[in-house]
Amino acid sequence: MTLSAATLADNIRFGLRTAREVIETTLHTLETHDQAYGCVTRLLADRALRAAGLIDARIANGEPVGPLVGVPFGVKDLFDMEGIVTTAGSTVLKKNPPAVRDAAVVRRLVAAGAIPVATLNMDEFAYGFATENSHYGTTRNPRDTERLAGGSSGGSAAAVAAGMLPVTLGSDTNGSIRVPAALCGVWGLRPTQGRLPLEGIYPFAASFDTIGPFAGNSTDLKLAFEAMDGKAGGEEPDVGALRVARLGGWFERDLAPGLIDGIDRIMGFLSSTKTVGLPEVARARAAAFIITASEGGNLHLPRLRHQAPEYDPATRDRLMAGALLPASPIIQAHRLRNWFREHLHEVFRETDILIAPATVGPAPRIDQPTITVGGEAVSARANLGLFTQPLTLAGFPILAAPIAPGAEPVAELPLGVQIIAAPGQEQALFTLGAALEHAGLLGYPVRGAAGQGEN
Amino acid sequence: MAGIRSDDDDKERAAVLEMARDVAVLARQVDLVIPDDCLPGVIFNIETLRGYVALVDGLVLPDDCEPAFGYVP
Repeated sequence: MTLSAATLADNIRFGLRTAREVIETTLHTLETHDQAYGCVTRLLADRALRAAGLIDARIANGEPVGPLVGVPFGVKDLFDMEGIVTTAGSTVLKKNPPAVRDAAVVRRLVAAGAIPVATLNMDEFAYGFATENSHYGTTRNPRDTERLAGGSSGGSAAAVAAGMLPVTLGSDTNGSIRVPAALCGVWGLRPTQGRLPLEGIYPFAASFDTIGPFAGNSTDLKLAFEAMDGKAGGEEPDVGALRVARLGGWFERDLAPGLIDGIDRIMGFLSSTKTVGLPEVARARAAAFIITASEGGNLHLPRLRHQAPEYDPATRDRLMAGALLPASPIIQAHRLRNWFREHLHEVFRETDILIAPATVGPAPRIDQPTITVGGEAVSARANLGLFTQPLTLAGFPILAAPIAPGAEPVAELPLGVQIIAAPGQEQALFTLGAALEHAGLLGYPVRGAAGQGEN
Repeated sequence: MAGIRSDDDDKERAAVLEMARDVAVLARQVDLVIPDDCLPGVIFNIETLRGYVALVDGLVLPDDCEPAFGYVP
């Protein structure tokens, strides 16, 4: 699988390939190549082949087909898929009944012609930034399999980076789309809080839970998002008229040189020298931690009372600690959230787009899962969200995009940026992302399943 | 071989036991029993969260700043 979603759909629509050929090739690729990465938890072969046959019949009959016709996609293992148990990356839920129907956004993608082919690995219950899962294994970064893919939607990001799937779905509570997208060098979107329906999604922290797509380029990401959103994007803004600023202060600390250079180049291209600071970012991140821990702890408390040994020990201990938080700091964190949102809205009165790094640097090694913050080595699992968590608090839409590599991409690991817009302004993110991709400033070659760079 | 316990060791042990008692009290309030083998990890995470609680409590907010329960970005 090396073609983009848009090209694949065109090929199938115009009869250059059948959907069945595409799905058979995709399933074969996943079966033969995923052993190196550990992205896939379950293949949906029977269902996918049945769907491909129906699509080929529709095309043969001259019936209309959707914009993603025949495009294979995978879902993080917390999206309901009809007929199978939603695991949320755990074995704790294994006795739950199978889902009676697909999650709402999966139904929308299927209506657009896309075909689900696999469920994908994640941190247990989405609580982590590493996709180190004691039940289903560690997902390895296709750019360097000795390194973490990031998480919690690591299987989704890595499957795209490896060239095994053109589109995948993930969830983002504190950065679980943006962090793995950055570390794997693919595109991801955390949409505006509340924009996409969460029906059929296993929750984590309801205050922050969002879902979104991953893809290998901005066009595919937009196609997937529009299908998930159930409507085409709005009017495209004039990129030259967008008021762009970079986030300073907290978001300038501990950065890898490639990130500083990449953001400098983006700002230069957009002719902007403006830097803005957000107030109390450390406290905003702390509020996100507290709300997440308490809501996750509350969600799992009934099971923690009786099934604690079945959890991944690291997840279990964090959830238990969260369940013990008293009410006052949780309420204070929610008040701080409102306060922080007002400040961000104030920034957007003078600005249309903010640019910030997604992580401090490239993917950490699996055997040394730490990152450097303030000169100290700290746990990657807990701290890779240093730049994503504070922004989570506000709920604004955020595009995660890979900085384009230099002349020798093989030698460089991916680095990613966050591009933030006002609520509901996803279209501005796609327009700007596409312009920067066209200018050669964003975008990282997706690996061919056989190892060659493509896309 | 018997070791020699210092005053520091005794203080550390007392602090851990006190923390364990605190955690047990908190856990009882939500009808949760923390198994012994989970206790070190839970205590570590509670200590981490205490740091974050201190940060959010350290910001004085206006009285009319409401919690974001019905949140719209």
